[in-house]
Amino acid sequence: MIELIGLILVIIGSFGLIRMPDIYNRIHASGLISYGIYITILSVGIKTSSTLFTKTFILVLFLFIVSPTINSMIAHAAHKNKVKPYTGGKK
Amino acid sequence: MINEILLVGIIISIIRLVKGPTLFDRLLIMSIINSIVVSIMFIQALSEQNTLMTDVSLVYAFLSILGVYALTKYLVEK
Repeated sequence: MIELIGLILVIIGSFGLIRMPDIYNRIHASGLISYGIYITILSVGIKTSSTLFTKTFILVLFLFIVSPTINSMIAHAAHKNKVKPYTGGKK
Repeated sequence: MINEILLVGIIISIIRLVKGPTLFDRLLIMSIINSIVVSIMFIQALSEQNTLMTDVSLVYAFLSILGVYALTKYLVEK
């Protein structure tokens, strides 16, 4: 039942990737997808088996550390290459 | 059922991969699709109690993150 929360988060985040106007806003939506993935993997790993739970925990910990780092590096690269942020039509 | 819904997430993200105006959108979608593929592989391995496939998904996660890291490092220092 808990994995439904994670799947709903994944679907909402992927719609946010379409709807958001800017690269800097789309990174927030990608964080939502990452949290949905953590919740889904952890709930399935707890429910099915106890022997494979250490590997589940290692994978979730790895993604939990590395995914915000990669998002931050993509934002830094976009800022270095002079991508303009979305201002809503105003200057 | 879980894998199909995650696959719907990939298919919705591919729309942004095709439309994306800059290179960085495509890079972001690449890392997101890699994460979702890792989760699909791991959930399938958990439901089959397959120990080998969990190792494969761990190595796939590491290599995919390494590829995105190299591309962003190149784009920062260009």
